[in-house]
Amino acid sequence: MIDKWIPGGERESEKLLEKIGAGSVEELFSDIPEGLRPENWDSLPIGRRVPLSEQEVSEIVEELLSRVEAYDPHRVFLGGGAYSSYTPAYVDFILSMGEILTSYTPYQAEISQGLLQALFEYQSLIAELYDMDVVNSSHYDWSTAAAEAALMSLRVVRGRRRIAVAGSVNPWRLEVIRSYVEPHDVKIDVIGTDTLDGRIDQDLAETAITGETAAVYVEIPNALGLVDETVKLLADRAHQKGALLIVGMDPVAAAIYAPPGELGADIAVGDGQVLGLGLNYGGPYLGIMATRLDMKLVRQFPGRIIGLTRDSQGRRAYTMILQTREQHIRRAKATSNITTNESLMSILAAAYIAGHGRTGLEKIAHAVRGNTIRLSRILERENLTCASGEHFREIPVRTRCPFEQAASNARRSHGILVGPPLWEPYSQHDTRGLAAVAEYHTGRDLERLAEALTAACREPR
Amino acid sequence: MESGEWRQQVWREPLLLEYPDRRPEPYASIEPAAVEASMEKPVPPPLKRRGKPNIPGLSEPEIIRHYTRLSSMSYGVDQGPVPLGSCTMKYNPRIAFKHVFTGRLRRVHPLQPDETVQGLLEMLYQLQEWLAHILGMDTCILHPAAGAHGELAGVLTIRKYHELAGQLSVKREIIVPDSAHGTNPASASMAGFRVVEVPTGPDGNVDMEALRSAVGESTAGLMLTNPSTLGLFEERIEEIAGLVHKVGGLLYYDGANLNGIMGYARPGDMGFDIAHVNVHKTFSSPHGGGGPGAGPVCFKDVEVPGTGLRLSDIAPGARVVYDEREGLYRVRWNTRGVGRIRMWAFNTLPLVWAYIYILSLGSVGLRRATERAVINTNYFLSLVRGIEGYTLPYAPGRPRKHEAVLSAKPLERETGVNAEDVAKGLLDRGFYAPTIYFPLIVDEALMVEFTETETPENIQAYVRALEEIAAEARASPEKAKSRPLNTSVGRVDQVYANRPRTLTPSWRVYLRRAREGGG
Repeated sequence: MIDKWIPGGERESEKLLEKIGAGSVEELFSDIPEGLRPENWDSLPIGRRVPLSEQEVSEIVEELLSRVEAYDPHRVFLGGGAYSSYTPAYVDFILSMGEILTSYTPYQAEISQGLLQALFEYQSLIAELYDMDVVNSSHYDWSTAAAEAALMSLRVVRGRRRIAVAGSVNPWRLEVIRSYVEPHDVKIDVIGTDTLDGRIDQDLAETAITGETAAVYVEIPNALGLVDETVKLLADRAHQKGALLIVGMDPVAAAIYAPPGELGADIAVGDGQVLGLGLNYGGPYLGIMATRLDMKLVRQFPGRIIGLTRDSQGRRAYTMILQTREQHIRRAKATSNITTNESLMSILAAAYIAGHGRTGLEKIAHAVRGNTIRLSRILERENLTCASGEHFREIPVRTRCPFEQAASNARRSHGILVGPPLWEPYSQHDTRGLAAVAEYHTGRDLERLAEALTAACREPR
Repeated sequence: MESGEWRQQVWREPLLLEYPDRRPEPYASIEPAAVEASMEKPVPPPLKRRGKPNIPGLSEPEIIRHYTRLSSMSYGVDQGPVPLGSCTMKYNPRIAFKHVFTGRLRRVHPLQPDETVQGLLEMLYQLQEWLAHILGMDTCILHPAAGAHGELAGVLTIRKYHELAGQLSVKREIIVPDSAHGTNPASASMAGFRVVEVPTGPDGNVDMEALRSAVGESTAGLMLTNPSTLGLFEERIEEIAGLVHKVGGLLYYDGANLNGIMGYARPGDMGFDIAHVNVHKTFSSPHGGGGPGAGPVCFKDVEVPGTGLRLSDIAPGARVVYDEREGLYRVRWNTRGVGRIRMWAFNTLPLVWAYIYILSLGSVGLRRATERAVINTNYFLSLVRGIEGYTLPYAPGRPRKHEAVLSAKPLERETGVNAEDVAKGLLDRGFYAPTIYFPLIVDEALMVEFTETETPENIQAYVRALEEIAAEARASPEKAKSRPLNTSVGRVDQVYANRPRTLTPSWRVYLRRAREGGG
């Protein structure tokens, strides 16, 4: 490979050294102290030590990938924060466009108008979907966006050092929030919930949200799939107490349920992964982050923002804006250290949204909701659930044997992926887990899941 | 290329939000009964969305044309040199694209049991091992999603280290040179540390006098990139490491500039305790207009005093281990340290890209990549030296590594044409500009990094362009300052873009303002 990626290879290198007037390549490294030079670099076990041909590489990688199981999407009901959705071919084609794929952060606006416009479109489409005004051109994932939203609230609501978080948020996201805020002497108050469906307990919410609270964080749907109507009350309570409201929301759900803006969110977060971006074994995903057009909020907002402006002749143009918030200008006082983000994924998400439009997205959202309803009816019929209330995409499942055993047998005997198991306080002696549906699941797919879960408990561990 | 020959395409392409709504059907196969089930049981009114979002649906040909037009108004490594200093914009090999983005990895769920993803875990495990060898470290974790995220992982680990050692109330400061990437001080702040800056000496190295007075009991750690952002190797790195270690601090290596030393020096051997790499720089995964990336972070097996734990045990996230008894690779989450800093274990796709890249080159190939990158920098300098208007501040006689920082100060003083104008002049000649105005310690900085994948002809042409720009600055400074003229738009109005009254961060804000008759 070496000569293909280094034009002219060693021969050209020798010629260039001669032109520089260096006797050998060593001369260019003469300032590195002798004692620091690795003696045996060439024989270190890095790759296969020597360059390989493209075909050799391909064969090795193909063998490795043959030992990665990708399941039939119709049999995937695994959720927990990452969900299967259909990726249109045109989205993957846009991914392969080299001018975007191989470009850098658009520091030079005039030569990057296409990229800037694509990012501005992403921001604008999410602003519509979330009913917010300002969207950054992405964060790493939902969890890091939520964590940065918590940090942002501490800068906006000065002097307060508590964040109230609904106990029903995804536990891994909560862990990320904890990791991020830990150095800043912040106390996280977890709001207690119903142990069956995670519905927020209003009395406990009243106690948890006080004049010390900088922000309240809640997710829609919650980690058990419940679209909790008590969120509205939580929002009122937060604002009464002068705290910011941070709403995490599935962007597909936002097509039919009250979006963060309508709920009064000051900051909204989410993951664009459900917009046809693939499962990717955990990444890259797309951390969505939005806020209202209030300079008190916007000045503390982290991440890159693209804005609409004009060029020297008054023509429409796009550029990075409010850069004085960012690390390359503000350094230790920046609103965040983020620079590399998930821009490419945000462009793909925008393409997905535009290829469906409002009505297409609504249809997908209704299909997901309808499948959730259909699955819950089937599970009820089979006595496999105890969930009630409005659910979207995900519902709790109760199995007659430990859920992990049921899920494991469903995979081995039926090729079905389901889960994850629920955690405390929702696990009910380890018999409960989650099942997530996609827009494309058929009635037959859903029946097959119920059959597998029933059969799985009759099979040995 | 002569000025004026190159022209970027100009499309007056509407925003996606300005297209007529074609009301397309979803691309997924949706059973009518699924939608009906939702319609029959309407969303309860308090939960229902009230406002309709302005999101038109486009037909497929419209979408493909839209992005094809936008792509023709964008510029990546696929078009030509993108010599952004410290960004390491090397060619992104298509063999990796093929396996990473078009295969089955797109369909693998992060909660799939380890035994169903053994081939993938084997790749990630090997990548951990290879990175450890490349960096001279002991244990690598692939968890962080970007370089800055790797830095955060590193400084949070430093924090946890001092906390477990009972020293956190004393260890409050992180030392950062003034030439450091902005992410270093920003990451240190996010981890709750005070940032202490030390200046650069006239030889381009850290000012040792200043460092000695900055290092003390309160020093939690020092963050450094080597080679520095000036492209210079910090020769006294071992002495620096000694100073910091003596007061119980830890050394953090910012791997953004690793492309300058592979095969010639390793951070682990220099005395660093923690190091991150940017797979989207050194290991060729594409930047995608800003991301995705991945920022693996590697550790020496330093013991946390009195705990029996090593640094890598208290680091955030997960790593892949090999269970010999079961003969299986396993994802193991660290439970005794910082905690996860992203939802899932790995930003997998860029990591697999890096695996394929390193597999293709091996230790020998990586060394050669570094050699040519450094040769290219110095070849560029050999051509640019003597062009009036540009100088090479800090130790002009020393060889540079992966990048070099020129100053356009003389040109600016003589003609008024500054670094930004030079950058725009380069755009007009079909090139991407270098990083400008960074590092902050160089006036009118032009920070140039070609990487090993650039051709000698393009480097020559780039230098000719710099020469033309200097000539134009003298002959007609007004013209030089009016550039770019050949790009799809002219000089962008940054003031208008940032003024609160005209700030337009989304289309709905634009429409609202238009309705209100403002702006």
